[in-house]
Amino acid sequence: MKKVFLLFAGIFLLGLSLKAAETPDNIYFRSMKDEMYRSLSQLYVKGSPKPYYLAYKLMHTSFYCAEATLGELQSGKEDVQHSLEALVVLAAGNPQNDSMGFVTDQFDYEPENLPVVPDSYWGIRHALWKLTDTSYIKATHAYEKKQAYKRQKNIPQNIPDFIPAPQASFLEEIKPFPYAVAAELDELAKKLSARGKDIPYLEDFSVRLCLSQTDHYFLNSNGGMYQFSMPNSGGGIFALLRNKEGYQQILSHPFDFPFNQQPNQPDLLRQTEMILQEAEQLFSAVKPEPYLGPVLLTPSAASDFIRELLISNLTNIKPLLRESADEDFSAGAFRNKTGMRIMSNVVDVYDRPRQRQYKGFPLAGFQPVDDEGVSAEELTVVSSGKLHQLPLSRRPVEPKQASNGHARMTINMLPREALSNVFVQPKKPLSEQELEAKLLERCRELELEYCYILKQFPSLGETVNVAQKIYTKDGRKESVFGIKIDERTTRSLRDILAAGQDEKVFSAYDYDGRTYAIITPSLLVDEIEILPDDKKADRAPFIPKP
Amino acid sequence: MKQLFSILIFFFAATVSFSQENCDISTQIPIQLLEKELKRGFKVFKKQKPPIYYLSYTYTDEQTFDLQVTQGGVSWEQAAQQRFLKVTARAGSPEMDNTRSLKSDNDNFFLKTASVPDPAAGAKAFQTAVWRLTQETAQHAQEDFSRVQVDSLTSSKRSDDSDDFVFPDKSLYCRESEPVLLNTDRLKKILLAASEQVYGHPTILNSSFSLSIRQGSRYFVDSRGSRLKTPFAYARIGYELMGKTADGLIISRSGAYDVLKESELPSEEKFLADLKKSITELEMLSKAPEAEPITAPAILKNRAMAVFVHEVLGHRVEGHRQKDDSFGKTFTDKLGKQVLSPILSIIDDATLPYFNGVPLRGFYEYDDEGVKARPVTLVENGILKNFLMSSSPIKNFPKSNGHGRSSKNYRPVARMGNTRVVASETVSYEQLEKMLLEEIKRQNKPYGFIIEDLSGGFTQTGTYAPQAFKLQPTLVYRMYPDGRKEVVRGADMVGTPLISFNKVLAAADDDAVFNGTCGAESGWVPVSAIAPSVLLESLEIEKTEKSFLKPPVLPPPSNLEKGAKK
Repeated sequence: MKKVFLLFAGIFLLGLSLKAAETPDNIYFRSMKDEMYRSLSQLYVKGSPKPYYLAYKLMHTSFYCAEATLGELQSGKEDVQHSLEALVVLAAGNPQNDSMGFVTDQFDYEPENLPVVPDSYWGIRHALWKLTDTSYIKATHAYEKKQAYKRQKNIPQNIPDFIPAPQASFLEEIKPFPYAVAAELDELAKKLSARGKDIPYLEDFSVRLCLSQTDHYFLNSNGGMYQFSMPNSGGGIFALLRNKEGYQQILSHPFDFPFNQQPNQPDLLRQTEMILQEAEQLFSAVKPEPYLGPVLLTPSAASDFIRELLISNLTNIKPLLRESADEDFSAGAFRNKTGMRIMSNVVDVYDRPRQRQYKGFPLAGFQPVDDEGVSAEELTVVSSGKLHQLPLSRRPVEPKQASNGHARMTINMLPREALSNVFVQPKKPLSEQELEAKLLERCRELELEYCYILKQFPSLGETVNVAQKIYTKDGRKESVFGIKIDERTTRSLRDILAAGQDEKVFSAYDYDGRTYAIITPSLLVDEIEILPDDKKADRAPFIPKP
Repeated sequence: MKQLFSILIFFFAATVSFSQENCDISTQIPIQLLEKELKRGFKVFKKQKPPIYYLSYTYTDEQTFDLQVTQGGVSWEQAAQQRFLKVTARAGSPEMDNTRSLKSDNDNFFLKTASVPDPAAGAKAFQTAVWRLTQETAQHAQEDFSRVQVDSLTSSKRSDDSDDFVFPDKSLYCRESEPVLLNTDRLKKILLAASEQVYGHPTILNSSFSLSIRQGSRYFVDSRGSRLKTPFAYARIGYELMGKTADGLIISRSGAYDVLKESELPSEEKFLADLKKSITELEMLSKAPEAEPITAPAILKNRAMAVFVHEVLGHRVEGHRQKDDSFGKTFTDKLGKQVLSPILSIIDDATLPYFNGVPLRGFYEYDDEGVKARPVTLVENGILKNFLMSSSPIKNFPKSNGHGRSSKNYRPVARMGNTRVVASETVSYEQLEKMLLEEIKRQNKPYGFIIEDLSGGFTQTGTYAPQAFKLQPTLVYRMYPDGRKEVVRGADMVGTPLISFNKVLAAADDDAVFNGTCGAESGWVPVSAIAPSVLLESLEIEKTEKSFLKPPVLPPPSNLEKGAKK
């Protein structure tokens, strides 16, 4: 008991001993530090547990979007927009037994947040004060209910709720927003969207380009902190067409800007031409028949495949206790599978949260210090097909477990374990021709008339239109639309037969809103079931396009 | 009578100055392009099965500026240009079309609006966007009409079997207006400075200072030949203060100034003085005793009366509610009968742009169905004379009177514009207070009420619930028989419409404007209401709902640490 008390006191005192010299001298850190000090020293309701841990996160986002259709600007915002958002994490009780990790029927497991905070010292403090107060009231509710729940379910207290960890800081100058680039986006959007202007079967062709930068500021009461800027600019190209069979179809192609925020005009033109080609193929594409067999996933489809089957099963490693449920369905399915074979040994998987860019593109999961103030470590997630390392936080699942700096939070989720920049690295990468040859070879072995190449991997209940059949006999390709994949299982990860050498960077979100970068090449999967979607042909327009 | 005459003169003068055409409708590019697309499509649409028998386009070109300031900092600032298109397609026939209320299902008032490119920049992209939305809207109209056909076969007989639509008269009109030019940088500085005035006042838990400007032009083209261009402008500067008492009651004070010119803005001194008064009132409210349920005589101050009339009577005289059997139809059969105190008349006049120097948000020249706005006398000397009409006829009211209104994603229904209460006999406000004292004594009540301000409220018009209203005053005084006044908190006004209005005993000569935004099934529309203070024989007060959460444990940081390094 004595040990627990000392630990508690130590952390608490550390919280109160934050010095001005340790934090950057700006309104964000001054307001966070001052309100944190006041809250930890004064915030207390008699008869309730005191707050012992507090973390503040501020995100200042600047963005400008240009949107054009068929060569003309759509209505849009005139100026660069700025917004400041605040998030608060508060734990009440003590590290051995606190208010976190428990979901009451009344409140979701999310940080208190305010999406619109005034950009002034008192404005930020005022926002943090309100959020801290609400967090505390909720924490006291959660604490009492959690104790009652644990007594009722006979849950022993043999693992502390929150363990100490060396606190890290990552501080760098905030980069100015590239206003000059924003001024160029309108013309570029017009230029790119004009490429679809004279194509008769396109009912719309639009381009959206967004320049965006988020400046992150974090401080916790243990002394962990970070300050950095991340670009998250990019956009999408969208084509709307009605194909020969009368189905109205939408093609969308998202892309990211390079790390330097300078849109690569020739590359965007190339991507625009590519989606126009896909639109042309889609115009005369056919509906698929039910299919079960090998599928080659291009990097774009592979990133969705990896996100859905691997990354989502490696989030939220420590299950939450829930007031009215025995199971936490938000906890990743692979959390208990360390050392087990979860994937084919054709690829290894690494998580590199400290890596900021790859081949000139920003990595959206960059987070050098996690949202519990711990330095983020690189992880070997999958090696030789076996699950090697899990992302871990300061909320241990087992005794003596240490954090590896992977607690990540969003407005929808308090800090929980998650990957960040996920690299899928083939051991023997194949060229595009070699991959296709291997796909055909496998098709012949299975005596299939054709196999599939998917350029997008549909989410559950969704349809994709960018796919091709490739015929076994002569390698001929035929475009297919209206594909859905109802049955998806983690078994598919073990069915990866080969991987390409064409890796690309993709930004993705998980169900809790965390951002990831997925760096993956094409993947050849031995068995996926493809079905035609149930959509009926659309009615023809009453009058032709003007 | 003399007073009523002078009001009408003012209406006329104000309307003339704001209703002069100053442009040529045939040269307007959006009109030309919409007309071209309408002509190309309509001849095909009307031959479809079911036919699209009426088509209209509303294209809006809008500039907006929004600024929100709190605690010496800017929370939000946005200037934007928006261009959007709404298409109305009517499938079937005027006797029965896709807009008919379904008896067997919920009505769908949603009407998709699309962002469109600038028609002046390039015709092709604009026309393609118009074509796309027209296709989609026409197909939805046909699908909705099928539902109406099924509903008409299976549902019980309608009590009012009027047609679903009456064609609006053909109108041609073009007006451009001077843009609203406010010095937003100067106003931002004023708001930032004002937002720091809350420091040192622990009662104020939340505060917000804002500036909002919306202006632009609306272009209307329909298959009956109407071609319209009308300007619109709304600008408002204001503030809101919020607190919470220890027992969980939310208290608030606010101030708002609607302006269209720099010269109409309040001076900085006036703005700060009003803010200071609001802060004092909020602090009084925080210490005030809680109201008890009671019926007692009351004065509804002018702006509170304006809201009262809007909520309690205005929504119930909207035309479409008289034929839809799901509504309570409080006034449907009261035409020609006494529904209010005989000293009151009520006119809705959307053509009125100003009242006593205050811009009216309910001003418009043509409604959202292309029908010219006009004054409508709803109640004359207490007798119900008219309903507010859109292009959906009802028994004895076959035509629109220019009140079909909607916001951008909805189809229009009958709504209010500028609703004016006129009293035929008035006294000074001081005299009204004396009359209140007499009434308190006459009824032998412990006290009466002065409802100083209302934040809004709601009224139930459906048959599923009692035909009652509940209004939320933000500042209420008890007045004791000895003339003493005391602020009370947590008092809601409740009642039923037929009883409440007959209890108006007297009115003052202090007409004032309430500018607001009204929400109903056709979306949020800007409205105004003008009324004098009135004395009610009795008003029912009940307690306000409270929050289960306490006020924050610690005081606001700016309260304790004013002067610290920022």
